[in-house]
Amino acid sequence: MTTDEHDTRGTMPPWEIDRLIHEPARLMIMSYLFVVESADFLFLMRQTGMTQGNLSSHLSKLEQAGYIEVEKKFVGKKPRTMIRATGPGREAFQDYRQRMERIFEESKGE
Amino acid sequence: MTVSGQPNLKELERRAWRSMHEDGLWELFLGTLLLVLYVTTLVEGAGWQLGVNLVLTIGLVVLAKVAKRTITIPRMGVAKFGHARRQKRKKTTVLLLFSAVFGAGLAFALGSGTGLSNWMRSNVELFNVFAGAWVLVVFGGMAYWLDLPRLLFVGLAYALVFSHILPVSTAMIALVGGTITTVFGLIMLIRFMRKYPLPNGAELHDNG
Repeated sequence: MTTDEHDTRGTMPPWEIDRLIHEPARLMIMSYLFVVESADFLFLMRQTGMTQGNLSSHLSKLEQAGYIEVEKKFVGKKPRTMIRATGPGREAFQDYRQRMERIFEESKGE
Repeated sequence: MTVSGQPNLKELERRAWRSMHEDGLWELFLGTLLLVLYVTTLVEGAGWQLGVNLVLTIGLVVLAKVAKRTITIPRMGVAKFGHARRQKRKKTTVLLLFSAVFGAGLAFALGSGTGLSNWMRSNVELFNVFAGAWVLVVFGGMAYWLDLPRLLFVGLAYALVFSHILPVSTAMIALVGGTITTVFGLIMLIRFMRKYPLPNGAELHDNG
């Protein structure tokens, strides 16, 4: 999903879901970033069990969509990459959860 | 995972929080603190006892902080948890500070030779039971607010030391309790270091 697609999320039909977040690895990343204020790359790698390359590529996609912010800084002499979910990223994640819950609720009634 | 296939966020947050404390550093810190209590009993003179206790305790606090920075964070990374966690940590700090001041106040009162110290000396059994219960309350608060139930077991060792309910000397209980807690902490630390080895240079320095 591109940023443009993200912008049209408000007009998305109720049965459609954000496919950028729906991908299991990115869903896991967004879930962790939703429950913490920020985390570094290593923390996300440990929690999700992803490899460095895999995590990097998913983070790039989420960053391009404006769902996360990546900040590189130095702690002493060591570089640290801090990642946090942006406001739109949190909204998109909440919206995704509500849509999924609605879909499952409706499918239960059928 | 919930029915809708989504992760249970509360559980996810708790797992992430607890994983940061799998390193056994709490047990090592609290266990060696009990051993410091034992060492203190070997020193003669109240002034020397206080001095040795203070120096060793401050040393342990510094050591625990250095260990967190040099062992846990390079292996596990860092995360800033939400407002609720920060509030709980503050409550734990306030509880610990309050009990430290309260304990120091009681020790001062005991040595003051006033009516209160006489009363405490004449009701020593009641006073000991109160001390043990208070220690359990403090560790219960820590276990609850820090979301680390295993601290209750450490609290039990402390309660046994402070309540004097066992027919063994306090020093001996501190030695045994401290050794068991420290060994448990060491086992946890070794398991943690094996489970989370140091990432290679690229992962550490060129992440993201």
